[in-house]
Amino acid sequence: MSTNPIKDALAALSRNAEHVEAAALGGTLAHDALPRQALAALQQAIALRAAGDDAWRLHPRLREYLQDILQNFGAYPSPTGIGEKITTLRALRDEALQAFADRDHESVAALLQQIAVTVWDIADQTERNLKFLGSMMSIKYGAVQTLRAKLGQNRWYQRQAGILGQDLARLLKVAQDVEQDADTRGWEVARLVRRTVLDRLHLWQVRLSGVSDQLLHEMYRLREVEVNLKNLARVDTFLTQNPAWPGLDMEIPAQYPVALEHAALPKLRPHADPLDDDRTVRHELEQLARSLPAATQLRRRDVIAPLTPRTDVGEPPQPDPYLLALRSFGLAAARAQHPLSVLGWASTAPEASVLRPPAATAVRPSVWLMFTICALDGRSHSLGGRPVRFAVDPVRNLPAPGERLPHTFRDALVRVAG
Amino acid sequence: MSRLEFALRQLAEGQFVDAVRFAEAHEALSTSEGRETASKWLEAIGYRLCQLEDGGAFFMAYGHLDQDARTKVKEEMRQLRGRLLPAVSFMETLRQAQGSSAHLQPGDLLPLGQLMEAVRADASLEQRLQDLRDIPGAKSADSAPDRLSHILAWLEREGYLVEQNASHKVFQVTGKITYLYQLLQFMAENVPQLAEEGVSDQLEQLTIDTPAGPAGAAQ
Repeated sequence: MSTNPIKDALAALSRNAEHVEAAALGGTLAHDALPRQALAALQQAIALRAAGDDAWRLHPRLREYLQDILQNFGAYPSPTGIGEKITTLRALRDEALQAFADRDHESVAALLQQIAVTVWDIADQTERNLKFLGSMMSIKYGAVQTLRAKLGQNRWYQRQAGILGQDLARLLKVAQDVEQDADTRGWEVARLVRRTVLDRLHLWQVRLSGVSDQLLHEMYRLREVEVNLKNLARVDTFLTQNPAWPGLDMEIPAQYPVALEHAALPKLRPHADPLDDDRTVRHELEQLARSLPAATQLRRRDVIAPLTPRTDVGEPPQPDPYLLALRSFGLAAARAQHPLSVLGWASTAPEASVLRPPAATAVRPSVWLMFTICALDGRSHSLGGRPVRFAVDPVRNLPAPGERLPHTFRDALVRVAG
Repeated sequence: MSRLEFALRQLAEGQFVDAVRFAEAHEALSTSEGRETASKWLEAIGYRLCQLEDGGAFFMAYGHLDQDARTKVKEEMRQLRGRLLPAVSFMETLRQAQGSSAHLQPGDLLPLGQLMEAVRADASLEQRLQDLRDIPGAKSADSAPDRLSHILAWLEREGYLVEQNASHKVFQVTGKITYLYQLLQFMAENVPQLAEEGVSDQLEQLTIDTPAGPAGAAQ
């Protein structure tokens, strides 16, 4: 046997590695599961502690060391609890007080030493736990792939953070009691408890609160991921099954995402200022002007020669005297209160002088009578821009001897019809 | 041109100014002075500055929904299919592939080569891409990888992706992807058929990405 106890212990652990692993993962080892040689070697290496009447557990520090190694692997690495150590601290305080009351100073010294070690362990373990949780947050836990597993992992770490929070609250009470009792009796351990635990407790709680907030945020994020993926799958199926669906034809609802109000302006098109005297701008403008196409030569409009009146035309034709007389008669008949006699007008009206001798245009009264009747009877004429229709009533002669009806007439009376 | 000036121009053009595609502009808008300047500038022309959740992309929104703005919003709602289909098809194809990030988030990297390999290696994925319709720029005779390229080009033009490595064809997801998720949620709430339980979700195999970066790479 070697004289080096550390080497012997490590050799024993190595030879019985599978039992050590089982104890590290499972918590306890059944007495019957351990071969007698392995049990003896591990007891020799002080690697085992009794756990009840028929089981063994690993030395706490050995278990913690192996947990540290395990934390880099697996899906649910967990922080090592400090609850047991807090219970141990309280028990050691009680023992120390009892030994002090019994004036057993040797025991008091030994117990105070154990209290100090326990306080360091608690502080050290709390730091490691907080660092561990922080690193888990930074790598989003890692080592799982499915969304369900991520959600489960999040809940797991929320529980771990909750347990650590409860332990810190308990630690505050116990550490305050230990510090007070030790201070009353003038024990140095009081200062250690103050410096190592009480002065740092608030900061630990703040850090733990930060981790909890991160966990809550992550939980919210994972829920959002779950909703997003569900929406994605459903919308994809819907769009595939409804190829003719163009979009939503509806009024804007009361609740809608602000992203719907996303807007865009037409592209900005700045223009150069022609009056800008900046050298760079002028250079650009000059280049732009030079690049314009050549000016188009416009065709001059032909000069229109001024109009000159023709002098080679003859006298304008004179209006027909009979048409002039007819027009005058029509106007007179339109103005007359009673039907106007054709021959009576022709023999007396000044406008009818062209019809009577000695005018060169004189005609026989019967010719004028027939002309007027043919021109006016039942016809519409425009007099002063107004259409006028005339009615002509012949003035009949008496019937010839032997006849009952008149066949001749001697004059006509003209009136406006209607 | 200052970063803020550049940011204002992008906002006016309708871009989503995020930390991936417009890192410096996003940083300029993230300060209180930048936000105040941008808000005043936009309010002077009848618009306002908005931001997607969790410090996401900034964008320009209507100052208030007058009749003209309501008409435009309703028109965009009527054309929702065209705005969503290529992106939804692509993201759902990715989710089914499970070979890459199933839930795209701003900053995620998408190497085109790996996507193409995944498509070629999976006949059902290839068939799914082949069956997709209304892919902008794609022809019916295009192969599945060609269709994938058209989809990625569309996503890049629309601002959902930005090419980070031209030689290796690596794309990065921009912050505008959050806007897409909001549109999907809006559809889910307002299309009656999407609320039916009969729609198959196939959520059992949902995967999420390992984080990009050394920690993710180590896994």
